[in-house]
Amino acid sequence: MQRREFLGLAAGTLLVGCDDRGAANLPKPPAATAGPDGKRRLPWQNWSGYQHGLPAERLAPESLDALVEAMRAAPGPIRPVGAGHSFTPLVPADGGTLLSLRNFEGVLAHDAGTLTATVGGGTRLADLGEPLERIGQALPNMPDIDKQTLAGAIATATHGTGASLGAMHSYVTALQLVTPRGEVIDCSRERRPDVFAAALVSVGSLGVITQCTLQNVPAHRLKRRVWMEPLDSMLERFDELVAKHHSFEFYVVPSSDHAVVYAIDPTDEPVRPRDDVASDNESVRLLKAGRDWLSWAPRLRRWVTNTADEYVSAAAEAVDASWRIFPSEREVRFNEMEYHLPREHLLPTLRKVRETLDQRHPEIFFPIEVRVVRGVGDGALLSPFQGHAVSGSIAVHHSHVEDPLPYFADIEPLFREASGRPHWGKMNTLGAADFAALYPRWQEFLDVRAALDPEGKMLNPYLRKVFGL
Amino acid sequence: MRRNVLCLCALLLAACGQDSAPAPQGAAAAVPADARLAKVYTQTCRACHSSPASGAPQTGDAKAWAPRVKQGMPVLLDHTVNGYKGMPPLGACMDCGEKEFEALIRFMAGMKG
Repeated sequence: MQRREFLGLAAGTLLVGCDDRGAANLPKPPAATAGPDGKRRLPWQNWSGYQHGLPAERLAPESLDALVEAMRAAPGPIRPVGAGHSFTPLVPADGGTLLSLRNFEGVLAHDAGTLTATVGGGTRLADLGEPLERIGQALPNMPDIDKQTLAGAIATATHGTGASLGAMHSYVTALQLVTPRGEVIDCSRERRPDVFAAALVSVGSLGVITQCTLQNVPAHRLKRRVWMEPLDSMLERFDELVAKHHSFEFYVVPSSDHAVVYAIDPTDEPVRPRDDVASDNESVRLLKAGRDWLSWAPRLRRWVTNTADEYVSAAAEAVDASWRIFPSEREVRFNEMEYHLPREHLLPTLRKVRETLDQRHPEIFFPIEVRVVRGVGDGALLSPFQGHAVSGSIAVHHSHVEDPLPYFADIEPLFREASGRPHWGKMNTLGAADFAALYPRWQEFLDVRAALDPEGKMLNPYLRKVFGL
Repeated sequence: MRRNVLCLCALLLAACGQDSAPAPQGAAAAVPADARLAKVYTQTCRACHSSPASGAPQTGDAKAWAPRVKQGMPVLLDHTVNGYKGMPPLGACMDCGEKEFEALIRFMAGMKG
């Protein structure tokens, strides 16, 4: 290392050490208060630690009867909580009730002929693969993170990636909803279809979903291939890659000219388990170190990142049961914004996002994530994919200990001008008028919601803003 | 210079590595005696605390827990409630209270009483 490089590195490191990158602006959790038993009443916070609340009650009913009673009697707002993996303030229930469905879990029934299974709403996706495999079934698609509960994933239109693969809610054929008045509603496309279409993606605003019947596929094996390649050449083949692969996504690495590409396809090859479970997290930590040490010298940082990328040219492959191939571990916590765009806007918007990141946000080290989702045929009134034959998604992330808002504020207008709709569980600044303009059946949803929850017991301040109530 | 970059990357990668000592025997099978606590444990804590690759102290691994226990229950509770390193806030049990967290910590750390 040259003397000048060393001195620059040292000076840059010292300067970086003085910058908290907006950490002081992050919301602070409320102080814990003492409950009637003298123990602390614990604040709730989401996975990233950005959202907080101090509920008066925390309930986890153990039966349907107990749940019905809780819905009738518990203080509002009642907010269902799953894994706390949403970045929007869907869960805070200040002064009200935090309601967990963790006792409504597991595979409750199944039909081998139709390949359907009825699953408790509180089941975590990570706990679903194995029991489904035992009955010869598998989820058709899974998100990148599998910590969420089934009800939470459906409520927020959580999705994976693949042009022929729908979001989680698109595979629900029936569900059971318990409203705040204690009504138990079993609905499907045939039975109370108005409630079903509203409940599929409803951010826990109609009541709580205790169970869902899922249209599954036969248990199967998938092959996952991960490789790096120059971003520009990959973008030229983007349509071909999306069409060719069952599941496809890529990440744009900041301060780099490369993309990390993930392709997943069915296979009969023998199992070769993943040995890269920790590598994504290590890569993010390495990118952070590059940011911390070199953000004062953008060209040097890009050179270092590109040089490091070139040494990771060999593709990593793994073959395993589908539920072991789809998800990844995300140890490095972050906040996230994701919008779903009409496919034709995807790549032009990505270019603008990348330019903005390069020109204005050297503090960013998390890659930009790009995915595709089948938009047709899911039938949910609040599906953000509706009207898109194939929906293109761009997600941006920022470290959970740094202020994400300056970056997200620069990126969000790019998504808005491309007619994007935000992911229901990820940060955005939209209000009722914006959502009404984006969702053609918005009023239809509001009418169903008002009929099932006339007192607004399921609404916290954020949801009142979203629905204009 | 190219070699220096490789050294830098290797150094950074090494710094990011986590301890992954083998799990103590029976860590994956152990659950609290209390049925309700056992359910919470299997739904939340067990995924990481019986998997050495997670980097979390393993259930029943007295050696790994000893320096943590030494910090005192209030510190362990704060780490649980606010999240710590790879552990998410509330240890992923969104409806647990202080009493349950204490009991779960005591079980995993093998603390008596």
